[in-house]
Amino acid sequence: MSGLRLARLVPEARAFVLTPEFVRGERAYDPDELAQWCDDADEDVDLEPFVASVEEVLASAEPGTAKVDALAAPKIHRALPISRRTAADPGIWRFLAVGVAPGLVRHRWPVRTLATTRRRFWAPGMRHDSNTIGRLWWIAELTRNGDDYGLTRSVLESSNLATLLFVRRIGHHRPIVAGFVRFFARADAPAVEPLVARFSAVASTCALDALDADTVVAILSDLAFAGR
Amino acid sequence: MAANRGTIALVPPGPEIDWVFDPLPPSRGRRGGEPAGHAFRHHIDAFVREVVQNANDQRLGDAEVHFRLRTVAGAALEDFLGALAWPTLEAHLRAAVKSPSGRAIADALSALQEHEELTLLQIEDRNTVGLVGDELEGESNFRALARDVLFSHKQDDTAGGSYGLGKSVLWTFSEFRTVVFHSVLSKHERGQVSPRLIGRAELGSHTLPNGDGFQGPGWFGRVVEDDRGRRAESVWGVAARQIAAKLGIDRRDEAGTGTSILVVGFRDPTTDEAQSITVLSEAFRSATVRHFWPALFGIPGRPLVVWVATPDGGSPVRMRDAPECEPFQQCYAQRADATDRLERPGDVVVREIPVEVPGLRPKGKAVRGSVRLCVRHAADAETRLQGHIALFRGPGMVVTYRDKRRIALAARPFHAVLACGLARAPEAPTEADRAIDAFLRAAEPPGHDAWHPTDNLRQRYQRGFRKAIDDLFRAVDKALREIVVPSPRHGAPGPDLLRRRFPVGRSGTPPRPEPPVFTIRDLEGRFGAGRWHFTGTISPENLPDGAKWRCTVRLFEVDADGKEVAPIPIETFETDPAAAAVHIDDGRATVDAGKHRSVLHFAGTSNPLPAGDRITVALEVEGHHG
Repeated sequence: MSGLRLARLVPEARAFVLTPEFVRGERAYDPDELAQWCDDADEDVDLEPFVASVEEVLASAEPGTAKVDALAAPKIHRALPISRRTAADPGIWRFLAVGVAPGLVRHRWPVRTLATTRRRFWAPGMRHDSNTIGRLWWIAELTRNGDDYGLTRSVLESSNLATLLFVRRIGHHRPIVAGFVRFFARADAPAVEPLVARFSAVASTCALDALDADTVVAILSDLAFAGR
Repeated sequence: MAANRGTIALVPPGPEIDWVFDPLPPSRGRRGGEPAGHAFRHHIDAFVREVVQNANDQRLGDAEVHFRLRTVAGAALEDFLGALAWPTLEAHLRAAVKSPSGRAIADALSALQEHEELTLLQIEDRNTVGLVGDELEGESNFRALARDVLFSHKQDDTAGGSYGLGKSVLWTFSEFRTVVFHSVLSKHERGQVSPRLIGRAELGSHTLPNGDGFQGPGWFGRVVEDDRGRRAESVWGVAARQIAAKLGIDRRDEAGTGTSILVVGFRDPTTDEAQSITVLSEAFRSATVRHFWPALFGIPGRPLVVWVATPDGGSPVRMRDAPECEPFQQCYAQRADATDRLERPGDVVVREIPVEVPGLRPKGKAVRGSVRLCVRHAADAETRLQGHIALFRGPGMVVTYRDKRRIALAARPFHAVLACGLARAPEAPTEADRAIDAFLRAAEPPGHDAWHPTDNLRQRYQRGFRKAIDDLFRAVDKALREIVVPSPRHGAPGPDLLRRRFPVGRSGTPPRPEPPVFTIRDLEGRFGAGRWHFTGTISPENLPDGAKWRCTVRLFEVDADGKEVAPIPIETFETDPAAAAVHIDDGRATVDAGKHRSVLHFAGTSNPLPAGDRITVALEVEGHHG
């Protein structure tokens, strides 16, 4: 696989490459087949480490679970040392999902409906049904501390929390994510969803940059237990 | 016949090069420091503005400005000081230490003794006019830059500066209040041979230990003594070249005509500690871009290149040296490629704002024209100059970035540019553009950092200049508000949505968005006495004749992403003029306005809210008709 480089898959390719056969995993593309739909990426990146880390994930994580996310995100992030500017280009994530690691997408999310799985190959963003690889890279980018991916793993192990946090602005701030992880680790933690929504409403009155994890835990405790 | 011939070399004595200070006049008037030094605030930005603007105004074609920072120490320092006739200058500097602004000079002298190192800034401009003009007579660049203090002698009427105070900034940034000029002239008077060299020190009045009193300013050059007294005049030709070489400001041939300015002991007077050359050079780069991006990367046909160099090397400044200004540059660059509305990040909307400037005194006619407002939907929300508007005219210097972040509640994030005068349509300027450029130039105070009524305006223009400026800014604010506030929703968007969902064919131009039916403005809200109080106006503007309309108003709590969390019921609601039918159902207010056609003001309050909750509330107003 040596010599495989990062590229961007142009949006016009959608109707041609996301065929039902491809989405269901009945066929794959080799990079030459995709070449007509590809442009150069902003950065020249050797994809060998990425391919290797995807193989490790496929070999070790139980399919269809949040464990895949927790294992894959740090590996994907380490294997793709790209700038945020490059990472903001949905084209590279389409290329990686469709052309390089379609198996990872289907390993994490067994195919139920074609429409949703298409989104997991194609749509930009950090929704649970956005491009699987781009979403994990960005969550790792937002939650790592240097080379320490502890928070990345712990937030992704709770699929529900990750799904709710990273579609909101509050998910863009590492101390806020850290506060949530710490709070929901307690034994008597209440239901996640209403509290995330409640916190986001309170957060609309704060400078998010100024919140540290302790404050976040304090606010969450207030919101959850004030009435008891 | 043998002739005895003896030969001796007849070398004319070299000109005496020294400092000569103006003696105190008989009146013994004294001054402390230089008058112009106090007229406007000084920091690196002001320095760069003035220096680059001077070069930009004096250009003969594609001008370049090179900033070079370096330090001299050791033997090189001794040679440098020797070439500058330091013993004479130092004597005057020591004497001036007692003058009001002498504290800084004293510090600089002791620092020089202690560290034996001197920071030098050289500013070299290329393809510019140079210091042309007679030594003592007339209006010329030479007299403007090196001799006079308060007069401006610029190339033409588009020039950026108009006070002549600009050059004072040079001396303010010299620890020793000393600047040397070395210039290759674009035209020569009789007997002049380029290059020309002269230095000037701007000290307060001072007295030497021998009792001789001096007014303050001193000159470095060829000492001349005649019936007009003793003075130092410009050094010319080979002698000038030699001194320039020793001072490290020689000009290479490719530099063409223009002036090299040496600021001796460069120091930002607003900082307490001396800054490193690297820090200074970065400050020069970003300040240059911040204030001159229109001249550097915007207005076509006025190429200006600015370099910044240190002993480690140099390069031209680039837009990325001031990333916070890139959105403004893109906004202006897209002035011909505008959209109708600001919808997506990167969209640019352009409006021509009509302007009328009064006639010149005594009997000039008023001129009607326009200036161009370009507004760009900000792509990323948090840059430092977001929500600002950059004002500039022909010379391509940003006069100021005005903060317009408070222009409206719920404004889209934006960057805006107001291109005036010759910058409005630089490809094809009109007579009106010229008149507006001249008017605004006269409206600039000495720092060139605003447009407001000035004495200059009052002297040159007939009545009405004050109103012209007020009207301009009011019209700009109004247009800006209309552009950045999201248009109210249409009452009946159905067919349009269907069209978009089922596009038929690909030919033809996309349908123009219809003008909004309702204009909703002045939405305000405040929290008091346990509830929300809100006001606003709605006016039907493009309703079909005879059509009835109604509007609904509701409040809801939003989260950090601006998404609705929960409704907040409205308790009271009234309109002015009072509408017959106001209902509050399910916490939202509905007004049946019937055929009412003028502005409808409304005001209301929410239900009381539990104390201690901190929330963000959105007010939604929706018009319906048909």
